[in-house]
Amino acid sequence: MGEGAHAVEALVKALPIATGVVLLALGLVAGSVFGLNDEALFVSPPEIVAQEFVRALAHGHIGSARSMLTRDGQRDTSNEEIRRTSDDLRSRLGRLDDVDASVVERRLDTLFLRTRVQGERDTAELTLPVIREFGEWSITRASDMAGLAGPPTGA
Amino acid sequence: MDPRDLALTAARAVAVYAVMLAVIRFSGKRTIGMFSAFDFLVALMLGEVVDEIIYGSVSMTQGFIGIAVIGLLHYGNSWLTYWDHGFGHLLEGSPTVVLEKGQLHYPGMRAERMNEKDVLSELRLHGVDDLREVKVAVIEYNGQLSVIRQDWAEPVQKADVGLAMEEQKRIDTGGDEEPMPEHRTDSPDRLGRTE
Amino acid sequence: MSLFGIALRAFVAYVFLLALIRISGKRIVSEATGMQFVLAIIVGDLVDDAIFASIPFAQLIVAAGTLTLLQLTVAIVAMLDVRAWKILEGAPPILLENGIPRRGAMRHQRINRKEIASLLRLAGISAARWAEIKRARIEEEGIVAVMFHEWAKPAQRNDAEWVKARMRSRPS
Repeated sequence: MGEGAHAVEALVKALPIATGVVLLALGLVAGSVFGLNDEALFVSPPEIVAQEFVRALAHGHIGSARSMLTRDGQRDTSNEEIRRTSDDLRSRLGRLDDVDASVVERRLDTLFLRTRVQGERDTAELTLPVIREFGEWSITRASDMAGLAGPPTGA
Repeated sequence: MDPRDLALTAARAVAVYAVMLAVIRFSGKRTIGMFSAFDFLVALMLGEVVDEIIYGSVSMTQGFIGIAVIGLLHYGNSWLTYWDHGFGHLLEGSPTVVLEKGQLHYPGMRAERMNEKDVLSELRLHGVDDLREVKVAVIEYNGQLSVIRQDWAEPVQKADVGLAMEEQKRIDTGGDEEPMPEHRTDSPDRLGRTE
Repeated sequence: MSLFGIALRAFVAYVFLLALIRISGKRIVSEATGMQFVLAIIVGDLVDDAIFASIPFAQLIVAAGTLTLLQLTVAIVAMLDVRAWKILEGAPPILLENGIPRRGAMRHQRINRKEIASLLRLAGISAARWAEIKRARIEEEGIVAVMFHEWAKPAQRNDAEWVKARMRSRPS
């Protein structure tokens, strides 16, 4: 207390400078993502998005899973559908051991990621389509969320 | 980089900041005062929860319940320590004497897992070059070493040099040169020694 | 995930946070270093998700940036307005006055006598010398600000002069 006008002055000057730094950093990232068409550096690569999505489903984090869908996907897919897939997955797999995703196909704008999930009870395979939206990879609305998991493959 | 998502993140950051400020203000000294190892752990726990809230992995409600529970537990804990019915010792330990009247106190050192080099190093940091100067050196609740010097090693006070000041001293201390038992902090029971 | 990606993101995150911290200043940012500390933990947590690309990097920028700007704003408001300061950061409580611990402040801060004694010992003051204290306050993170009575303050050169003068004037 009572450090004088100097301290306040320094603080007040710091505010716009800090704002500038934040905007600069955002600009840098935006430039890299939109300008240089970065799809794996400042933005999660599609494999990670697929993995995180499946992880969210396997843990029952409905909101989190939902946020990884495209805007249209979020609008068209209800929470119940996501929850059903999540419950289905959880009951089949039990505790989650490992998730691995890899790109299997590229059709125009859409990448298809085969995501292998290893649970303690069973293994499942999901094929997730992703497109770029706002520079990020998002999972498009699959025609049928419940069918995503595919037939049981056995442990 | 959906602007909606980014805006949401910013909004959550604001909400989290406000809540953390309130938590810190009402937790009182435990955060601004003596920061024990336990307080540090609690800060880490809160940090983890807050992280999940900001990135939206958990709903705000879930997150704030987490914060509330941790905060309340810590709050209750601090009340228990305050009332000091043995909880203080259980949860946060007691000050440990490591040096007394110039002699290293090995049981205390062992309790604090310090060897001679550690103690001497700390003493040097306190500007002590002669062990005999030290009346008692204690490892306090926050893990730091405190040094009480012998009377003759204390810096000269104004009262020692100026008569007018001496008078004032007599008035303020009520004429006792030796402290009464209730004034002592370094008596055995106060230091929590059992021996 | 590419190792190069991890390295580059880590580098950018580091530079970004460093810039924010340097701009915020050290103790200038806020007297409440408690909040500083918690924010440091939070931001540290936010960073790892960004480095491993679990979230878009922009999220880290927005999150850390918002927290920093808030901290600066709060600090400015607190410094400009005394009432706001009291609300936001709380006045440093007086724990000891004229050698006697103040019960109300102790209860409010939930500090018991042992802990006050501990804090004062850390300042080199044994209980025997509590009477010398005019006022003792807790400042940040365990540092206690002690105000001694005038007579208990260290002797200064003018005090020594006084003694010398008296001794000179006294016929031996």
